[in-house]
Order: sequence, then structure tokens, then C-alpha cells
Amino acid sequence: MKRVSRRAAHYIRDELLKRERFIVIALNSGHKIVSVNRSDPDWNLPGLIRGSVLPDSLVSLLDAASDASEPTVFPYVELNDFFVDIHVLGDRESADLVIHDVSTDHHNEQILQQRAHENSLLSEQRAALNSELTELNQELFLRRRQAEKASAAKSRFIASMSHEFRSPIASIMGYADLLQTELPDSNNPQALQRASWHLLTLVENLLEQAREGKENISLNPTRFSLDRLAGDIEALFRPQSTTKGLAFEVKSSPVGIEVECDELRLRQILINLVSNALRYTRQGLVSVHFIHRDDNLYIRVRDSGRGIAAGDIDRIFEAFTRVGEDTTSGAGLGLTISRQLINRMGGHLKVESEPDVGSEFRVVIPCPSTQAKPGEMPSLSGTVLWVDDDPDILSLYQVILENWGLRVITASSVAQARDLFNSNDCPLVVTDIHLMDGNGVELFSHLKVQRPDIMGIVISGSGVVDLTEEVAGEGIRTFLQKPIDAEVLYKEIAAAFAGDQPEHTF
Amino acid sequence: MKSAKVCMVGAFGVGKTSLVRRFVHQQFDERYHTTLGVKIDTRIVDTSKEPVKLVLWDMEGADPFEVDKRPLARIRSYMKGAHGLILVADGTRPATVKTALGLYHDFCREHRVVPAIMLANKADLTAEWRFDDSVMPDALRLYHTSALNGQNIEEAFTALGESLSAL
Amino acid sequence: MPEINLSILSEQAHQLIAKQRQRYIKSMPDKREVVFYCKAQISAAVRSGEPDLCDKLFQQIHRLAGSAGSYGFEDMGRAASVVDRYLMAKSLQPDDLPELESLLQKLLDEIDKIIVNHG
Repeated sequence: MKRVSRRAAHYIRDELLKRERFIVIALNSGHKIVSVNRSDPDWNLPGLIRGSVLPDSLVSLLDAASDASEPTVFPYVELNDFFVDIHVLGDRESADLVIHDVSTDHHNEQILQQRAHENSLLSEQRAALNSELTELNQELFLRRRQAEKASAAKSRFIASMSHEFRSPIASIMGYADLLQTELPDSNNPQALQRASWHLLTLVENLLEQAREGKENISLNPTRFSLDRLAGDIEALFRPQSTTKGLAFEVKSSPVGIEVECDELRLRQILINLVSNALRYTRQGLVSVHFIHRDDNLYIRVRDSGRGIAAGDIDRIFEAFTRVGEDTTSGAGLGLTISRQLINRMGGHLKVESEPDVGSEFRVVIPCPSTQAKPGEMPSLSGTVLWVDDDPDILSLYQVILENWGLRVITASSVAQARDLFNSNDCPLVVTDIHLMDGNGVELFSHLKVQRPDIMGIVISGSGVVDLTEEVAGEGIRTFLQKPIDAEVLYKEIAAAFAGDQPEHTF
Repeated sequence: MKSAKVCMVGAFGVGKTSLVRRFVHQQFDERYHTTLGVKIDTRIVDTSKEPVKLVLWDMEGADPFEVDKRPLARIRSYMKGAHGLILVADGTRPATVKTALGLYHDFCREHRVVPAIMLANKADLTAEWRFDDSVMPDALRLYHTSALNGQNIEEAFTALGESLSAL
Repeated sequence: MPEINLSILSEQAHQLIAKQRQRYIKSMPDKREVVFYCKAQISAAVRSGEPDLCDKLFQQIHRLAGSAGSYGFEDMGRAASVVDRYLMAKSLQPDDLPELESLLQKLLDEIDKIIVNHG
């Protein structure tokens, strides 16, 4: 701007003075105001009077502006209600203060600054809350882990204790059995058995609870007589009901059938339900009915006890909960366990009850009745070498023997038989007499030299009678004639592998 | 009477303006109105020697993360020629301690060491209080203050006055 | 299939055996052809004493006698056994030919019945 003409410089100055307001104060060395010049006659600041001393705040400014070589500017200084930029020119001896009104700029910038700072403070707050939240979460997580560990430890403890109990109980039951044989006329050993079942049930309940449904219990169906189960339940609980002066009946129909179901678990359920019924009944009757129909077992346990209020019916199934005020015995597990077991067995449980009248528990469990299934022979195991030059015979009997669980190696000639015998372990050899390249009996003799302990069955397609003389040699258990009866074959092979002595030796 | 330029220095929002208002005018406004620029107020304190006129420069707060360099440039220019410094931090925002100490160390390096005190402000917010006294350098005196209820304010300013009167 | 008493076998075994039986039935035409061919050649074979031809016949007849019963075809099995015993009992002479041929025809008829009824 050095090269502009004076005219231009003045013009710029005048324009500037139109838009902006300035006050210029000239000072002497004693901070006294020598002159005050205002570009806008309507704008003045108090305390700025010619001849008076500069106000303290402005003196402070002057002292701060120690560098005389260059003007010092103090932006955005608040003076009364105005914001001004204060430019200090000169030095201590003689200074000029140029006061420039920047209130509008200040106002605009302050709004932006305010917003920015408020946002920043909110962000900080949020960050602080977040980190507090994270800390709390971590603590919560740790606490929960601890609680889970403690709970698991407790469950393990209960489970291991329950396991410990099973052993001696099993022992007691075993001895009760022995006693029964020693004292066939006494009823006491059986009573001992039943009480042991009861104890076992309580232990199983504990064990069940400790599992907390984590493991899937595998069911173990066994065949048993429904009459016997009903009888056991009756005998188990009769003493208790007599003592309490209650009528007690157990009925089962149809008579004389066997069913297939997890007997242990079923006993557990029954003992739990009947115990409950007896516990909560002071007078009247407890009845237990079993009905087997359509491959289902229907059980109904009815009592004339104090009943359950409608609102409490769901609660009775909660673990460790006993509804009602009196402190009757029992851990509060029985119904919980029973329902779990019934569900696990694929059945369901319904309760109907009326306070002061009684309750009825109805259970349905799928439970097929048993009949002997045809064709179920116990499986065999072992390896058989079957030699016959007729592939139709080989394929048929291979199917049959493999179905029985045996491993079958087939050969259609003496040569092949010997090869296969060498490379496999075949304790039993079944061979046709007539082979393409030789005689089955001779084959067997050769093989027996190699392995003296092998057994043989010889088969012929024609009348056996002629052949007994041809045949000599130990180890051949029997002759069978085609067509071979499967039952006979099964028996012979089973006997061979069982090491039974054959009926005749040849 | 001795006159001393004392600058209120610290991060934004720590309560510099509120402290001055409380000390000079015995007033408190809980609304946050961010300072842009500087306001100069004065009050005389009695010391064991003689009364000292504290010329308090209440300036805008520093933002360590501010991309705009102008605020810090202004703050530096306001601090020139200060005879004493009052460092202010917000007791509920631990990061503001660092900001105040930073400005103090910068000043000492650039100019000279002057009497200074540290105010851990907003002491009334006990539930959110996060100030760790142990981070303070030994040379600085620390006061837990509250512009809201006036806690420790007279003591703090007077103590600085005392140090300034000794010079 | 009553002959070999499958009542002791399981459901699964029955199914597998049924499959085998189907294969057996399907093989009947081939077996028939052997019997038929040999029957046609038998006179020449007996006269010329060609052992191979007769052996092939013996083998097939013997096998049929042994397997037919196992697969439940008793009638065919019996017919095959008759021929099998006949062949085993004597060395064939030209005088035996008419009877042998008639027995073989009976066997062929039985095989045909199987093919027609089950195939």
C-alpha cells in the first residue's frame, strides 16, 4: 500500500472511519490523558476524559505492552459493555491507545465459541459416563462369574455326595436280597428293600436337582411287571398311612402285564407323588391307580388332603418351594423332579385341587407293553470262512450270518479258501464238500494243520449218509445238508464260538 | 499502593469468570457463558505488609484440542507482563489440570517464574469430584474452591496477594 | 420261505434276503440256458464221452439242487436233486439217455415256472 496516492490513502481512511468506530487516546509519561479523539461522537467510554488519569485496567495494558518498537494489540477486551481491540503505540514516555469497537464481531464469534464449548463439555460428560458404565459392567461380569462358579461348585458337591450315597444303598439292597433267600418266610427283607428304594429315590432327587437340567439324562427302559411295581408302592407306604389313620389303596389294571419303561425313574415319580399325598393328608384317603392302555401308562394319585389354592398350583413345582405355612418335612424337590422326569419321558402331568377338599395328580407316560419280538436272536461275534463254489449259496448265507453280527469271508474254491485263510483270522470254517477244485473235508484237514484250533462245519448238497466214511478228522463239529435251516445253523455257530462241545465228533 | 497484574488461566469451562465474579462482586450465576477475549476487574486485598490491588485479567479458556490457533495466541498475549497467575482446574474433569499446568510452564519458560496458585474448582460437586491432589507439583499451593458457595476463595486470593506483596 | 426257517431272523435280514432272492430269480434264465443247451447236447456228449460238457451240466444241476431249497423253490430243487442223484449214481450210457432227457425236461419246466411266475 506504499505506492498509493495520498488521495487514495485518505479515501481508504475515510471509508474505514465510516464503518468502524475508533477512540484514540494520547498519553504522557504519567499515564495522564493528553487528548481523546472519537471517530463517532456518539460513542464514548466512561473514564476517558482529557486531563484525567487512565483507568487501572488500561494502565495494566500499557505495562504489558513493553515492546516499544512495534504496536501491541489486545483483542477483545471488555470495557463496560463493549468489546474492543486495544492497540498500544509508542512507549512509556509517550503512548497512543487506539481503541477499536469490535463488539459485533465479538458477539458473533462468541456464539460460535459457546456452541463449540458446550458440545465439547457434553462429549466429555458422555465419555466419562461411558467409562463408568464399562467399569460397572466389568464388575458385574466378574461378580456373576463368581456366583456361577460358586453355584457350580455347590452342584458338584451335591452330585458327588449323592453318588457317595448310592453305593451304600446299593449294598443294603443287595444284602436285603440275600436275606430274602436266607429267610424265605420273612417279609422283613422285602420291607428293607422297599425302604431302600425310598431312600434311593430321595438321593436320586438330589442328584437330579444338582444336575439342573444341564446333562440330558438318558432313559434306560427295562421290562418289568406292573403288578409288582404297584405291590411295592402299596407295601412301601402302607405303614405310614396306617400310622396316620388314613385309608390307602393301590390298584393296577390290567393284571399280569409287563411293560417297558425306565423303571427307576417311574419309581422315583411314584414315590414322590405318593409321599406328597400322604404328607399333606390328615384324614381320609390316599389312592393310587395304574391303568395301562394303548401303550400308555395312566397313573392317578388322589388324596383328601388340604389341597392347593388355584394361584399356587404352578408354584408347587418350583424347586425348594413348599406352599402353605406349616413346616412339614421334605426338601420341596419331589414335585419339581417328578415333573421334569415325566416331561423327559415324553409324558405329562396335570393337577386338580380344591383347598380343604383334596388333590388329584394325573400322569400319562408312554409305555409300550412287551411281547416277544420275532426273530430277535442275540448277536454273535466272530469270523467265519465260508467255502462254496455256488455264488448263490455264498451270497445268501453271507447276508444271514452278517445279520447275526458275524464277519464272513467267502471263497469259491480250495485255492481261494487257502489264500484267504492265510491272510485272515478264521476260527470257524464252513465248507461244502464238493468244490470245483477239490474236497471240502480235505481242505479243512489242510487248514487244520496250519492252525490246529480251528473248527469246521461241512455242508453237502446230496445225501449225507454216503459221506460219513469219507470224512475223518477232528474239529468238524457237524454236517449240515442243503438247504440249511437257519435256526440250526445259528445254534451250531453259536455253540462253536461259545466253545461248547459238539454233540458228536467225527 | 502496589498493583499486580494477575491472570486467571486454565481450560474453558473450569469457572475462571465465576471465581472472579464471586471474589470481586460476591455474585454467582450458574449459567455457562463462555468468555471470549478478556475482562479486567480489580479488588484490593489486605496482606501482612500492605494492601495490594489485584488487577484480575479474566481471559478465555484454553482448549488443548482446538484446531483454531487464535484463542491460544490471544491467551499468550494477555499473559504478557503478568505479576502472578491463578491456575484454575475443574475438579470434576481431571484433564483440565494438565491444561492449566501447561500454560503455567509455558509462561515460566517464555517469561519468568511468578507467584502462582492452583484452584481445584467446583468443590461443591462432591459426587463427581475426581481431583487427585497428588498430581500437584510441590511448589504450587493448592486450594479446593467453589465459586458457588465461596469455599476457600478469600483464602486463595489473599494468599496470592501475600506472595505478591513480598516482591 | 419256510425251507430254511427264517422265522428266527430279523426284519432287516428278511429284507436283505428278499433282495438276494430277486437276484436268484433274475439269474434263472441264464441257468436255464445252461440246462437247456446241455440237454440238447447230451446225446452227442454221452456218445462221444465229452467230459467237459457233462461237467458243466453236472455242476449246474448240482448247484441248483443245493441252492433252490435255500431260496424257497422246493419243487425246482427236487427236480434238480433227482437229476443230480441220477448223474452221480452212474456213468452214463446211451440207454440212460431217454430217462435223463425226461428228467431234465422236468427240471426245465420247473425253472420256467419260476421265470414266468416270479421274474
